[in-house]
Amino acid sequence: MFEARIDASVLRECIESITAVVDEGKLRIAEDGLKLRAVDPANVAMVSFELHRDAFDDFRFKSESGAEATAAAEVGIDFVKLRGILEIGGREEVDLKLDEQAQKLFTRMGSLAYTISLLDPSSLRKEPKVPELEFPVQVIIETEEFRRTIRAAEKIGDHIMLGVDGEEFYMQVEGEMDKLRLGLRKEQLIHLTPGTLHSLYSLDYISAMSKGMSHAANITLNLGKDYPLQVDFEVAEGKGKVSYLLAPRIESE
Amino acid sequence: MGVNIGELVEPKETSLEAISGKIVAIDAHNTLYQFLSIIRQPDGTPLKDSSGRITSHLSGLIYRTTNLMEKGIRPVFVFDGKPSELKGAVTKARSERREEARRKWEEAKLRFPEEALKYAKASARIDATIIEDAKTLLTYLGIPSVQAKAEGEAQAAYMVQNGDAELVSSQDYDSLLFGAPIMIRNLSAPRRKATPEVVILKELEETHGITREELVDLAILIGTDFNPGIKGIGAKRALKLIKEYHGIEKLIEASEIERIENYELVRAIFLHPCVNESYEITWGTPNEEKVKEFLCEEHDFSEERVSTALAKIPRQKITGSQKRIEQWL
Repeated sequence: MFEARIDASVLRECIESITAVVDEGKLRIAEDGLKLRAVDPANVAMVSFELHRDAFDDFRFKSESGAEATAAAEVGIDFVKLRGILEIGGREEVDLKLDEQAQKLFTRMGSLAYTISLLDPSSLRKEPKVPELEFPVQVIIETEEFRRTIRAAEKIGDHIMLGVDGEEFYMQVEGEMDKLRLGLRKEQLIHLTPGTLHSLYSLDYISAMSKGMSHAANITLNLGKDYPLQVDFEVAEGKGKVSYLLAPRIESE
Repeated sequence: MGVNIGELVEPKETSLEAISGKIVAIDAHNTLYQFLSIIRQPDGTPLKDSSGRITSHLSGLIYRTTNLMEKGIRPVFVFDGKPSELKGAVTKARSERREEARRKWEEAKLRFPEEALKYAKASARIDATIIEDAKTLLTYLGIPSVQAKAEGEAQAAYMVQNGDAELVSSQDYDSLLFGAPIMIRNLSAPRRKATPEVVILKELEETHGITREELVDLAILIGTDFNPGIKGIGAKRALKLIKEYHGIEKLIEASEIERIENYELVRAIFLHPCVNESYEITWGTPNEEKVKEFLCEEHDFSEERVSTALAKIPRQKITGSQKRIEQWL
């Protein structure tokens, strides 16, 4: 049994952070909130999402398979569809109700009721393993600064270099004709681990991700040399956490 | 060389610009042969370095290939592997013809200089050194080479079918018999001399209402690199016969033709060629120092011209290869 009520714009922010990487996935509903971990179809990026029950105005969950506190319901959700519904609904409260037997999720916003059929979890990709990564460098930057650079970069090329050179963090794109570089000194950032390294990433992915993080004030970039990028940020005013993991492009010799 | 179905083919003119950005699988043997026969001095003498070694093929590779790359075309050279045993007879006839041409060239050089070039062209031959030189230069230029198991054209056609390249570049229509969906001719020819043209296999089949299998049988009737064909049957007659009887067996049954030696084997060479499935195509950055060392120091090329050619190669974008996330999970 799962019934909950949440601010529609908060839920929308959460769903948008997921759809920046995947269209659908297995959402795990438990006593303490919602969780998801999913890899995109091309196996290039992963999203980890957690939303604590405190983000909800009302949150009731009881496992149908047992009364254990650790038990969870796993439901296959088409997040793009859910986002579409939330876009229609506006800024009201959303009531959510899960019918596991019928494999339906009922949503209600004011007088608008919308029933979503759940996806068969067996048709969805297996939940990926938890990555074990060690990042030598961490940069905390204002989200808007990052997003603005990505928007400019999209006009120039299809991949972007993120790196640290001493006490400077830089983002650099080289297209056929143009070049763009953003360099920020340690004092212009919220945090920076000094070092010398860089990696190259697909702009398609980063630019999709940058849309998913638009509500967060700051983001944490975890970097290595020819290593995945992990971007961490908060959603639902700190009651939720999102991490994106993006595999690098390795430069050819 | 190759099958003589020119009469049946209606190539469409194209331009280098039109195929910009495309990956072209180039039949290396065919292209090197073109370079060796065309790139010559007015009296027919091939280009040579100060030690007398032929350099026409290297000249073609550096100047013509960089021209293609300047237009954004991405060449992959496909080298022949072991030739089919059936090719033996044809190859032998060809080398005899070449010897004959060489004799006539030597003669003509003395007596009719204007005739000499014709014979000189026909005497061009490709040996192991020429192949090695070409591979070395391509490596230095960062241009990928693929080694075929047998026929280079079969390999090139396979790569296009596989989606790893978009066109086969060859002068021979054999590429079509090997199933190349689309081929381009005159790609490496000097610009003013011949316009690049494309032939689309599907269009050829539709124009004449025949299948690729029938096209191969048709070619066998005329003669291919692997069989001499039937005397007196040209492309038009062969087309008529194939459209009426649909295959060599039926033609024999109907006593239209007598036996054709090895036709089943030749058919298999074209329809089920032996190909290298584990090839890799990677573009590198040109190693300018090595290119100059090889061309200018070893083979007396002009450093200035080589520099100009190298500058035409688009600066390799550091796109790199996208890794998958699983590697870190």
